[in-house]
Amino acid sequence: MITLEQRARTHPDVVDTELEGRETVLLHLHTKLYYSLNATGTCIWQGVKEGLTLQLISQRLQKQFVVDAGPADHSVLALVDELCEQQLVQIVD
Amino acid sequence: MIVYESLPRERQLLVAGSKLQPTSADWNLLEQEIRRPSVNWDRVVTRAFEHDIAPLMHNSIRRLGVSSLQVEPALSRLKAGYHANAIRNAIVLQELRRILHAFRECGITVIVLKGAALAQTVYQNWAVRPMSDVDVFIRKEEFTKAEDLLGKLGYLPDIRLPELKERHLAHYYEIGFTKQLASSFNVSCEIHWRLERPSRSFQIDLHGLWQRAVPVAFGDVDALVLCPEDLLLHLCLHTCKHRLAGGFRALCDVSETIRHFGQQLNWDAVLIRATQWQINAFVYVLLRLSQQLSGASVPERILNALASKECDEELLDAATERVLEDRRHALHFAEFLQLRHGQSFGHKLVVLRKAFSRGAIANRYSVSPTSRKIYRYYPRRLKDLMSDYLPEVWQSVRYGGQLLREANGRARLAAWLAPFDTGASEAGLLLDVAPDGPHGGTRK
Repeated sequence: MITLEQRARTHPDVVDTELEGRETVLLHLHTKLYYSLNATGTCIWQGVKEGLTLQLISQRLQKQFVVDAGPADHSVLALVDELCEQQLVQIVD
Repeated sequence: MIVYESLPRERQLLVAGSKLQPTSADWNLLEQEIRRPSVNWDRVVTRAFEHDIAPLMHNSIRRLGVSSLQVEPALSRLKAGYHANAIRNAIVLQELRRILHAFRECGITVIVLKGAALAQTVYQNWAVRPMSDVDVFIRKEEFTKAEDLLGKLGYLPDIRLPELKERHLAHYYEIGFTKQLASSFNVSCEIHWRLERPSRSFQIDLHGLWQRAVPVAFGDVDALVLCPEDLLLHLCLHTCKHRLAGGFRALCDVSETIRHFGQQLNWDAVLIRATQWQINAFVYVLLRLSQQLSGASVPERILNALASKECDEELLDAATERVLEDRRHALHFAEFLQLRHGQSFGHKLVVLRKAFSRGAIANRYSVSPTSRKIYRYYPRRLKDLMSDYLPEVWQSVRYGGQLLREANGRARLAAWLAPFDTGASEAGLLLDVAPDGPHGGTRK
């Protein structure tokens, strides 16, 4: 189970690009799976790329999108869990 | 004369939606057709993909910010195309930067051509302009050094026989290199040392191209791109080389280049250089089409100076039809007309033999042309041809004369584009390179 104290890192076979309107598209070169992230997803993805803990990513999300800690934590954990399942990120510690 | 206003509404939508800066009339048309559609959006989106303008259309519709339940599924396809193109181009840009860094470290000066140059300078958005590969222009004497560097970056040349490579260097203008990033996921880099085959009659001053090239940053690395006038001429030449069959995107490139550089474009230089390169008629047709279809702002005096007797309305109409035609049907439809209106039984037999050749069936159904299994596919081929061309069969029966006129237009266009034909002796010199198809010379 993923916790907020952990960090994730992007899978080496994943390519990403940020589009206008803070949308991000991810592609796993081997599975050919492509994934698009909305503005909040993009914020989480950027945090992962910067090597932040999920806790810090959640705090950034709360600040940027003016949301409470509960829903922000839930969003971060849910998305990272899904990205892990799709092999787009890996949990490091 | 075919102008934007006389186009069918579906084609008007394609033209309006593929502009980076649509006019108020374009916005109105898009909004009207999204809110209260009178066209088949599914077909419009399919055409947008065929013409390589799906990302551009999504970009316009996204900016417009309207949708309706009726058209939502079609618009979702456009959005997916935009995303797929964005990620594909992000990979291409990453590879281009690697190549530019490597070349720079070894002192190879590079002019970035075509898609990547346009995405960076004209479109200024890597998500909207589809591109299949990286095209870089170098000095011929630096080819071996460039080849070694590409090898170190994981690229394999499409041509490996040394003698064939020598022939290419002497008689052709580019050699492709491919890198496999993952299974069935490749990136290609084409190294150019000329803009055209030396055997063709054009007089392109390579020295001038290098002198006039301008620096542009591709992320963290600088390279050169063609100056605006040379870029415009190259786009016209390139589009004609591919027989205007590269989809409407090719015309968008010309129109957007004119729009982007605006007052900066030195039209007198365009005229003088087109004359020097001996490509006036090709430039004229492309500029006239951009003006008539996309509203590109081209000075009339330049058009008049570029025009020649051969560039009459019949030719312009045939060219317009070619850049906007349904890509899938474009391939065989002229042949289908021959089947109905062909001069002799022999002509008709040739068409039938081609449509039912082992090669055609093997290609369509991914079966070996030497396999006995191929016979199983003949009934399916007949059924597929019928379903593919049923609308045309019906139209041909109803409007045979008009379609025949269109076929004549095609013949006229083919004759006009004859300077781009590959002679048999030239094809023999290059052995494994097929004549330029809609997507460039294909290699076996």
